Amino acid sequence: MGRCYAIFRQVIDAWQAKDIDRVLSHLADDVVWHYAAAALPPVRGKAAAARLLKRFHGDMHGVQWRIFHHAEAGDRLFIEGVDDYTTADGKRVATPYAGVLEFKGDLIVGWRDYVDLGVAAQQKAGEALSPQVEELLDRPVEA
Amino acid sequence: MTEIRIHRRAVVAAGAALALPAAARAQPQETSMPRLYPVLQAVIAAWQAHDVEGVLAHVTDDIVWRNSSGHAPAIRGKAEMRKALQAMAPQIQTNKWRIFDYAEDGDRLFMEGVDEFWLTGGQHVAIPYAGVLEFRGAQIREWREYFDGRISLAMKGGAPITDEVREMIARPVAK
Repeated sequence: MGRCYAIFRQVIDAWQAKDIDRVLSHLADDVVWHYAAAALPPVRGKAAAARLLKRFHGDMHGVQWRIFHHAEAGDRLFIEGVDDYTTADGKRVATPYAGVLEFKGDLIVGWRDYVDLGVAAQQKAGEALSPQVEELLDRPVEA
Repeated sequence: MTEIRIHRRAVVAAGAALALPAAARAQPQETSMPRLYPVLQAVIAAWQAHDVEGVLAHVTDDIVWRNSSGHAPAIRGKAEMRKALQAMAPQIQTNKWRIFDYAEDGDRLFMEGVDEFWLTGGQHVAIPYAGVLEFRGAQIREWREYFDGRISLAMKGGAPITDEVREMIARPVAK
């Protein structure tokens, strides 16, 4: 397992455990986090990231965040996975995505997740997962 | 993507990276010569030359092209990909598709870039995206791209490019 991916796995474990402080411990103070790259403005700085995580914490239940593939190049980590969770009103949301994380030392300083929020909006409205989403989810998960 | 990309090699204005972290402006630091990225560069070059068959030469007959983050069904097979490319080509006036960063792992190429183009109607569209190419030998057998389709539709409808997008695409092109 690469250095960056090992750190990222700790972030995933912390988030699955709903431990926001432990997630934040892996972010640089000046992190720029594009949690929906290009679709929404990024959050800038750890304090803003903390507020976003707290909001997510209230909205996302039964989180099954999974990574299918990854690769590292220097201080960048490329990932492909799915955000899979249940909303407070019981809707399943599963959005396939790809992302790039940039590290400064052991801390994440740049984080860009590319995802289609339109797919998420359909699922939040109660639509079943589409066959093409199911295909993207039907892959082995990396450890 | 849902639109053909007959791209010219892009020259990006560097230095306008604004608030992107310094690491975001770095070039790929491969420890060995890339094997797969040159194939993608060849695909780009073919599209820049409006050479659809040149593009298709780099994909397998059973290519699966997932070009919508799960919004639309995949395009399956070289023949269907050819139809899609040929149907969309006339809509594009100018293209500046480019890759900012990449990483290779075995037969897999990860990429981060922007699909930027101008439609014949004058609309300017720039879709930052990340994706993964799966290779069999020297050919692409599966192509997956992730982006927000709604911003694509908005820009095709004439919406201006947002400051967030401008910031994201003001990065040097990967060599």
